[in-house]
Amino acid sequence: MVQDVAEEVTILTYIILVLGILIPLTKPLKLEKSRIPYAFGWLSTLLFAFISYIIFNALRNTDAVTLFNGLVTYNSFSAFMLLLSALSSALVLMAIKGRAEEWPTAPAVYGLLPLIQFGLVFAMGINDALLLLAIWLLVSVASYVVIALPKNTESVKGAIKYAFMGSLATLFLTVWVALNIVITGSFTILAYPTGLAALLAFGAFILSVGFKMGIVPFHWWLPDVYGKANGYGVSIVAGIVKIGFIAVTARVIYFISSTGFSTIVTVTLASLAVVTMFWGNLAALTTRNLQRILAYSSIAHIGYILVGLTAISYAAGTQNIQLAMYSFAAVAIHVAAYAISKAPLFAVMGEGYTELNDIKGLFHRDPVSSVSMAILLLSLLGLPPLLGFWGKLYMFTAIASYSLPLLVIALLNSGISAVYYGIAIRDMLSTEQGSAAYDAPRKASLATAATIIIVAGLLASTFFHIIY
Amino acid sequence: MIDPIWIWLTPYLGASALAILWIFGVRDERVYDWISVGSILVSAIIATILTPIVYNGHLIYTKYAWLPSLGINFGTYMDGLGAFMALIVSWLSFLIAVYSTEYMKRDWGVQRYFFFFTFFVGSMLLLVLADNLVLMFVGWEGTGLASYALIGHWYTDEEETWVGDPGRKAFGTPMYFEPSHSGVRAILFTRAGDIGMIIGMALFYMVAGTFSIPEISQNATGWMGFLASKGVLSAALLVFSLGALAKSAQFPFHEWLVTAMTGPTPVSALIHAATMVKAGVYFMLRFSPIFYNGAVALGGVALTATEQYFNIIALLGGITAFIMATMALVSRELKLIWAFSTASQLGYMFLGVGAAGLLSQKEMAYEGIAASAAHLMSHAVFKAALFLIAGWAIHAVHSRFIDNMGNFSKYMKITTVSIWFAGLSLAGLPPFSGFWSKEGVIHAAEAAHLENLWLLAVFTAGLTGFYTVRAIIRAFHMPPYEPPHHEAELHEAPPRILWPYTILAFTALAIGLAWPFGFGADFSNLISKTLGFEKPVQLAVSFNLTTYSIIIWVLAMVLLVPALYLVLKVDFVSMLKTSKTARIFHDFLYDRWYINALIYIFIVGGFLGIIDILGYVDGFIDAFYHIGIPIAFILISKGFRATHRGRPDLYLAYYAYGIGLLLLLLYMIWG
Repeated sequence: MVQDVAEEVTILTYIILVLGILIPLTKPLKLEKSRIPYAFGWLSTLLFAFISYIIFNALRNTDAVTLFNGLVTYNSFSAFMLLLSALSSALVLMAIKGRAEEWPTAPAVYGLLPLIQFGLVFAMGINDALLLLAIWLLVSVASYVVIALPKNTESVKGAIKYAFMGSLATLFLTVWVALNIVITGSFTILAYPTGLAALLAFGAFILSVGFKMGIVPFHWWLPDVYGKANGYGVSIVAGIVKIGFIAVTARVIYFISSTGFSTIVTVTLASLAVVTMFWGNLAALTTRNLQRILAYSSIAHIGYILVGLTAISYAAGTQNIQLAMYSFAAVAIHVAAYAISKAPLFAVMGEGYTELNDIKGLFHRDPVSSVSMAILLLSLLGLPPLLGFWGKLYMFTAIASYSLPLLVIALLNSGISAVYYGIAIRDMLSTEQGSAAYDAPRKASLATAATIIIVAGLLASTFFHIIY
Repeated sequence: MIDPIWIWLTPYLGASALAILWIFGVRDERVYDWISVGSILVSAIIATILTPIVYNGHLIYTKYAWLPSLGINFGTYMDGLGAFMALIVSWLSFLIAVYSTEYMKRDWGVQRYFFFFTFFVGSMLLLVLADNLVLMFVGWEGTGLASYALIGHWYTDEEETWVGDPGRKAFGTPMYFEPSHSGVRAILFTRAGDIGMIIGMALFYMVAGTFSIPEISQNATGWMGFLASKGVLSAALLVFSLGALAKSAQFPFHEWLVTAMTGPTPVSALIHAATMVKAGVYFMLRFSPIFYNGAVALGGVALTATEQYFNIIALLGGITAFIMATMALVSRELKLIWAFSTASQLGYMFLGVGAAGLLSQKEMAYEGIAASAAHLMSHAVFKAALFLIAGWAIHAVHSRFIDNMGNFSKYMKITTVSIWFAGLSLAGLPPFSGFWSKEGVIHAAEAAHLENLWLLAVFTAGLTGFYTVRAIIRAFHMPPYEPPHHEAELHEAPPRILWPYTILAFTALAIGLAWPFGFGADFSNLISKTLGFEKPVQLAVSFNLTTYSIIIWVLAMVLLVPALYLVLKVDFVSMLKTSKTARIFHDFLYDRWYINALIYIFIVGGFLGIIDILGYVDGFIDAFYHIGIPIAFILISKGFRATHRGRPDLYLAYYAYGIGLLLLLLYMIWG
């Protein structure tokens, strides 16, 4: 039975890869502006979602599903993260309809999306260091290109910086892989030794994933790319790709802490969490550009997620499986809230109305979009009963057993973030009128996301217990 | 037997009915008149029916649970003192309510007036009949609230309702007071004392474990002994009595009573002469036997401490009596003269109680206390009459200044007789009631060997005679200094105004005449039934050389007035204009010894200074939160964002710093 699952997943994964390769062929056939690439994108996403469905189905009878000859193992956390990236892919596709076709690079984005999804199937449950490096390269390169696709100056500049800095991160990941192989004599990441070399390996790992996720002080590229490049590209990087890196990091951190340096890892993550939360939230306070607010708030949210990762690390170090599963579930719920809000919000930034002045009075012109945006922002703030509240609640509850000061700092930061989310909502209610206007696909994407945020918020504890 | 609770409950029900009628839009004055007067009359009748029972030696005491956990009941405790006070309060309130129905006719706030008037009567009766401190405090504060509302009754502050000469200042402090200002003054001055009273109540509950007055009396040796052993007995008693001192306008709390004269005159008569200001005296009459008995039983430190306390009470009483009498000598406002006189007479009562507490012989001590109670009664009667007459006089000439009054005796014969009866009673001349009671108080001071205070009290008695007769002569038997600005209504008062004060004035004479022929004995018998009176008292004045000397001294001062004004025709007005010494002396008294100015400059000014300082502190806190923190956050935020300048070379350098920091962090944790 498990064998069947592995086969089914393998076949579907490769179909996705094939789709990724087929879509560019529409260009020579002069079909790049047709509906076909877009439909292929949806097909790939549906297959991707189907994979997560198959895995979830299999997990009803077992704790873990091993795929690709043991290179990848799925548990409920990884399966949920996979489902989540399928969901945010769908939201991005809804939002991007009719826009990517206008780019000179059409239909590239629809080809790159399956490639990223292909990589994510491996990334979510990765066991092998070398495979991780390979997936890393695939997904990273795809990300750099996605950012550059709209071909405007800011996007291209952002992509170049992203790639330039990314090469450094890749270098450190390579160092990690190399040290890992040297110390353990194998490619597995499941067992982890101690010692100075292993410590350096951990440092190298943080330097690389710190770059990808945007942990302060390795985040320097992020405001330029998230804040200035075209929003559609950003929505893919911030709303889909990032889920994979968070899943990888959580997984690796768990293994490192359960076998070795739990104290070092926990303290390091906690320190980075504090710095990252403050940096993101404080930097967001003074800008009048909504896309940049979203960029800085992404940094802040990585800070909150680091709080959850700290709880995972602490639980792994103390062999508290219960707390570890709780923390994994908490991170999953928070990432869900983050991705479902950020994917459509960044996507509509691609319409060009990136200033707060643009969305002034939006409530009076377009109540659907503005109310949806307000719900998404309030979820990011953590207002009950929206999904973002539950993510923070579960994570902060998890961290309470480790460090109360960290909990207080996290709450304090949530308070600070109320200022800039509040300003954005106030501007939408303003009687002055800005220029922002959204057509049906954008509206649909925002409204769908807002509905999911409300419904999932009401059902949060059900989801939580599926993972936990 | 009727439940005594109805004595205080009936006026409360009357007041509630008025409030409900107001809500339902009833504005007809006659409805308010009838309900107010009626409910007070019912209360007075019940008190009258019940008093003989108490007189015959049966305590009337009923209680209903209120806060059982604290041992607090709706307990009505009607002993000798309670019955006596209930009689005085209810019947005076009734007469003055009848007076008010005419006097306040067609006033724009008459409905509000009768609501607070009736509410006041209920509160005052509750105060004197409550069996526990908490219930007594409810009544106490109720009277304070009504007093505040009625002092400020004409809160639109027209100049004719002021007290003091408009524009006059002492040391830069205005010496004229509007009704709204006076109301606030009254509540603040009395509140200062009430804080002490609350502290005292809490202390009693802590030490004696009860709020019940009979129980406090029963355990007196216990809690007094405990406080004495801690060395705080005299301080504790004094703090507890601060509320009484403030309520009865004793120095240094007397200022509020002077300016309370902005209220309608019947209010001044009832609340600020006959009843509410007596609450402090009632408090002393209620508790001084308890304190006295406890101290005598304990002896030693407790006795010394209690004597200290009674000494202070006597001293404050004597000082107040004298100071206020001197102010009355020069005042130009008829109501103000009576107000000064009220505080002065209250001083006599405090002096009497204080002196009584120092007497080692129990019978004599109770006699001193009873003498104060007698003075409370006679003062209530004659001072109410004087105020009610003042109300008609002010109404007649539309001026509160006696300069505008004159020759009233030509137009109002009954009123003239009445004011002379009441005035001579105030002066303390036989055979009027004031003579007997004042004599008792002075006698107590003599017996307690308080020679200086005795001398002061005797001297003040002469001053009292002088200022009283001066006011009567100026208003009734001399032409006015200045003709009234409005056309005067110089005729006898209408019946509902005339009869109340005539009845009161004749009562002052009747009590005085009946005193040596049994009334004094009856009064003594009733007061003997008071909580803490272990032996019956017998008030009797023995006519000796001292008594005759005092009578002659007062008579001389009384006769001096017509001699100066009518025979020698001394022109005090031009004397003030020519003599600087006279002016300095006059201004000192006229500006009330500058005590008001000093209170405003030092106490009010001091608090304003504190407010200013707190204002700066507040401003700093405000600036910190609304300017400091936002600016700090803006700077930090801009600083963070300034690092993102879009330059990859810088980013690379920052990233390198990040590597260094991470290694440092790892190394620190590793180490």
